[in-house]
Amino acid sequence: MIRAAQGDTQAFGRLVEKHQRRLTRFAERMLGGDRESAADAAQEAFLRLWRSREHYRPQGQIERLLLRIVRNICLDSARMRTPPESLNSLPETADSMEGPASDVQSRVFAETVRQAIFCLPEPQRVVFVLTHYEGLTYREVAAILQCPLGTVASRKLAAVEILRRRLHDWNE
Amino acid sequence: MICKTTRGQWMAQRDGELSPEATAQLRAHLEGCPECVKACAALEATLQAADAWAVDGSDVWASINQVIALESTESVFSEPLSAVMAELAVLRKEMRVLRTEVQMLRAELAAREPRSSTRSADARHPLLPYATNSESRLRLV
Repeated sequence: MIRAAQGDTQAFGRLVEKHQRRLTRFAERMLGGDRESAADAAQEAFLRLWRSREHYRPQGQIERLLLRIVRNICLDSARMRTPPESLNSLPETADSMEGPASDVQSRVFAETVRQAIFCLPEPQRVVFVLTHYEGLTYREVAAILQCPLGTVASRKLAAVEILRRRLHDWNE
Repeated sequence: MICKTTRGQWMAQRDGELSPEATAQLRAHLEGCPECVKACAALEATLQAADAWAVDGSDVWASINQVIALESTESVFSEPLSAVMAELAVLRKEMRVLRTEVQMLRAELAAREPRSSTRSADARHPLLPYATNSESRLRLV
């Protein structure tokens, strides 16, 4: 990042290539599976970093900073305020999907999980996505969200409890 | 240890966040508490279920590189690139709103219409937000 901060686009390209997958994955899960908006959010985060490169000071991990920027962009996104489709009617989708029965079941279930996660309140969702899907430690998440470790732990448990209730029928 | 704190302790232990001493206490409690074992098993099942939603991530460097290249030559143009990019962002947002409206309309139509075997199944279903049936999309638009 130090070389990128000096205007080296190749160095910045390497930085982007190193972090782009995690950032787009994170954004996509925060935005309920909207891949295009997720790519836009990640792109915007990298561009903000590039445009402010002259003010960059090497302190902390660059990835944490990028994840924080992406989270803020996702918070600002109108997509966050779009209510997801009803969970109650999801099982009906199996009737309209084509392919082997097991594939259809898998796709319906993945869709159920997507919606259940998108239904989580944002503070719980961000903790769940970062810890469960991205494998970050509570300390790393606390640093990104700038909140106490205990808050991360309680939000994670709350998120899983909500998901457990929403996915109850499938777990039976 | 009391049952009220078990789930939180279990979650922290699963995430590798619990100290060895607390982990030992948790295990001792679980050995004698079938209710807590059941509760923790439900949490474990939920976490495993969450893995059903796979997301790959995508590459964005090519488009970022284009923007950087454009911005570096911005002074050549009479209109600032930032103004064009702002307009582009507005148009993208409007496009997304339109797409959502089309999806909602499609869902509403599907709910009203009696099911017919002659139409494509995924074109009429309201719960496929990213249906790619371009023919049906064109019809609606």
